[in-house]
Amino acid sequence: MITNAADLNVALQQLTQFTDMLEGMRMHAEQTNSRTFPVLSQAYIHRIREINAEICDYLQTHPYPTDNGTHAAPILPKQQV
Amino acid sequence: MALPDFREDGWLPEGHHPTTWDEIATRFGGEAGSRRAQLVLLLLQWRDAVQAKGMGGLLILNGSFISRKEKPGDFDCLFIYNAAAAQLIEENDEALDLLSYERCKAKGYGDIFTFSEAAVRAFPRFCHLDMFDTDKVTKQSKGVVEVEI
Repeated sequence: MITNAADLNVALQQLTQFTDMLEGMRMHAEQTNSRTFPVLSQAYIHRIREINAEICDYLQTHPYPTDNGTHAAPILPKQQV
Repeated sequence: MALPDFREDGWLPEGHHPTTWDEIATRFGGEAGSRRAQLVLLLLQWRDAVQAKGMGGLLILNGSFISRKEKPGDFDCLFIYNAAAAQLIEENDEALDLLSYERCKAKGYGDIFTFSEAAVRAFPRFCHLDMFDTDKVTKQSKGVVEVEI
């Protein structure tokens, strides 16, 4: 769960890592004509969606960073899924 | 070398800690009938099935299973599979099923991520073996466990 700007940075880093792994797997599958990518990519796609949702939830409810690196009180209603 | 003690927050200290299957069962297995015992059984079932197919590699274990948490949810792992496994999953649907996220979740095995050793060598910039080094909930740095299959 993202509770502040520091958590947000960690989540963005995690997103980059999982996306990189997925892209590395895709490029290797392309290079080797592998049939396995649709199956083996499932875990990464699922986790990337989870992290994305977490980041979007946080940004939607904490849109304005303050001078001290924290975020202002929520001004937008959290979207119901 | 034995695994280090847990930190105060219940995670292992930062780093990738090599271990054995015996130590995993002893350290994280819990009491008979517990959630931990159930998770170890599932993990060993999956490992045995992978080995029986002739696949091998390095398993990086993560998740509350390798923490001090009394009732862990499940385990995450990254399986860096070897060349033999890479060939098998191209030719054998049962072998590929063992690495399928959806099939593994349906059997209660947890979140199993995969990456081939060949892809690690071919695309090192895209391979983050440290992708589990931060807790996905608290965002704190922590340790993980490595074991050979």
